[in-house]
Amino acid sequence: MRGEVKPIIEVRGLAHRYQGPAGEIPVLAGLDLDVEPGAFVALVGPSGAGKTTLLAILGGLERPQAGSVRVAGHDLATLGPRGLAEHRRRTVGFVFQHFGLMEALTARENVELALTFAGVPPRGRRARSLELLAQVGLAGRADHLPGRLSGGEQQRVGIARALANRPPVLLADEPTGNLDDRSGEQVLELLETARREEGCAVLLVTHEERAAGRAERVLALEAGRLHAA
Amino acid sequence: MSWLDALGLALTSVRRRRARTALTALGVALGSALLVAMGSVGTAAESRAVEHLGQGLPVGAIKVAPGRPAFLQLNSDEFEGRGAHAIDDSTIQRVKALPGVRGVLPVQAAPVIAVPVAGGSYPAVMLGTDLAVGDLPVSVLAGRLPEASSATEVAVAPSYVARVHPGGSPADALGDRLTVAEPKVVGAPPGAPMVRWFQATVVGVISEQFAQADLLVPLLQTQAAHAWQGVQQDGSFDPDSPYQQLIVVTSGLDQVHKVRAELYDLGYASAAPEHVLGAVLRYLHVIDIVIAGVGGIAILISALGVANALLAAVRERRREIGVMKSIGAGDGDVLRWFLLEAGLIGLVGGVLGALAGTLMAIVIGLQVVDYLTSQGIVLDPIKLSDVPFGVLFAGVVGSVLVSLLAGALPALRAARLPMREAVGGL
Repeated sequence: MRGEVKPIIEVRGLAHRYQGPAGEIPVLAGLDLDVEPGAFVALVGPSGAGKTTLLAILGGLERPQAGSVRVAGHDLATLGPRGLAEHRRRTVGFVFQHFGLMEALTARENVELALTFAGVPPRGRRARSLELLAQVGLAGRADHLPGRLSGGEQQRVGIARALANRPPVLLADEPTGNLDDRSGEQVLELLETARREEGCAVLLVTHEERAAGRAERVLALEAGRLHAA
Repeated sequence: MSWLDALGLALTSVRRRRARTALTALGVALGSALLVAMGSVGTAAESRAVEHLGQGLPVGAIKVAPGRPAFLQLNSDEFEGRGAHAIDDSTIQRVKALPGVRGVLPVQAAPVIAVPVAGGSYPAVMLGTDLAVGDLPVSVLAGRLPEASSATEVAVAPSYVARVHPGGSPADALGDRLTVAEPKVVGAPPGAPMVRWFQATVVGVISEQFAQADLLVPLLQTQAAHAWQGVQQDGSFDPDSPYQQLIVVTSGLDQVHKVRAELYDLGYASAAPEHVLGAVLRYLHVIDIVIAGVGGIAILISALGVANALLAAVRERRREIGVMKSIGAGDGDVLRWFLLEAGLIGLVGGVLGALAGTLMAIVIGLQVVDYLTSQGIVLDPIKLSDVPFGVLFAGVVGSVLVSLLAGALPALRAARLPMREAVGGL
């Protein structure tokens, strides 16, 4: 059944290096990855293995140096700056370990910001952001600044923002890393719900076994390549 | 992201960093205030110099005497006559037709004795002019000018108020009645003077600077006085001239010399403070250049402040910039955000600076007027209307433009920040 569905993420022979003080450091070396729409995949591996680099490349924050990366049918290597910005607006949603909320904006305004960049008119932005905040259980906290929210609540706002433009791919980098167990559970539950209800594929980078245990597939990144954990 | 959305974001950023924004805007305000204050003081100084040296006459006014001009007339600001040359109605018509002449005002003077009802008569100069001419170069301190055809209305100078209403205001003299006696000396050797008189009502108080008049009346009143007295005045000019003086108003300071040359060719002596005014204006122009330089340096320093504050903001907001890009902001959106923030700081600073500069100009003006008054020179203090709109506009718009320029480099740096590096934790 799985083989019949075209993957939303297709990576072939991805290689990436960084320039270090003592020369080039290979991070990804001929990495292959297929992720089907609506899949929940966890990426694990030691620090510095290249998990975050892979996420950055899939999210259009960095360009692949070698190999091919296709997300939702787009070859990221061929996209220009505008194309990549459009990719970040509509194809992927980011969830950060540090939540990445704008401190001066309320929860609602933070969610609206993603809709603003996507060109959604103000009325539509407001309705969609309130709907999303209600989905993550923060309907009553829409007008609160991030500083007035707990870590778990801030991360839920972050998830609402990532889902704002209904992206087919959700990229989450250690989303529970800064949270207590209970809040972490709530966040993982939300990611699961998003996958189920919005149909988006979730690629979760984590160090936590508990978080990885939620995924359908757990892949370990070692020596620049992925293999089943 | 639209400009409006970017503006909203910039406003939020500015509000969030209130202390830093206030300090940066204060730097801009200082530069703008200096520019506005210096510009206003410079402009007011120029207008006061023109006003003071013009002795109450409008800018570009020339006095014409009923006398032929001496050879060096055009090199002097004063009358330089060498014989009589009557000013009559045909003269007025010819002068009116000269290029650069905006208006001609005939003036007649007659020596009289003013006898206020309250007592204390005093010798005075009664000046008659065509009061039907609009836009007369006369400052009315209270009341109004006499009607052009009235034989009983008179306007008095502040010297009358000082004599009759010591310590009072000009308005206190309105409605006063006085007798104006016109003495006529007959016989040789001179015998007792004969006197013709008329009763008058004070309808206005005028500035004393208008041709040193004590009383201002319609022309018909001085014409009657001349008919009675015969003309008595400065022997160097024409004693039989129907008019003792013309006040020629030119279309501007730059026309004064040309019109005086034409008057010279017509055969009339003239006086205008063109040389002294030219020297003063040249001096003030040098001061203007210095002031502009100081203001420019102040604006430059404030621009450095804006650039520094925004560079710090870019450093502080690396992660924010990265997050914005990761949720779809393009380089242009980030550029717009930071530029608008710089523009907002410039606008706030510029407006505050313009207000503060206006206040500074008024305070400086008061100090200068105090000093000059102690030196015997009476000038009007700087008023709000003296602050040129152009200077205010330059203060505000200049601040915005300079802030935008100063913000361009930090904004570009923010826009080109590598996303991965900016996001940090990702």
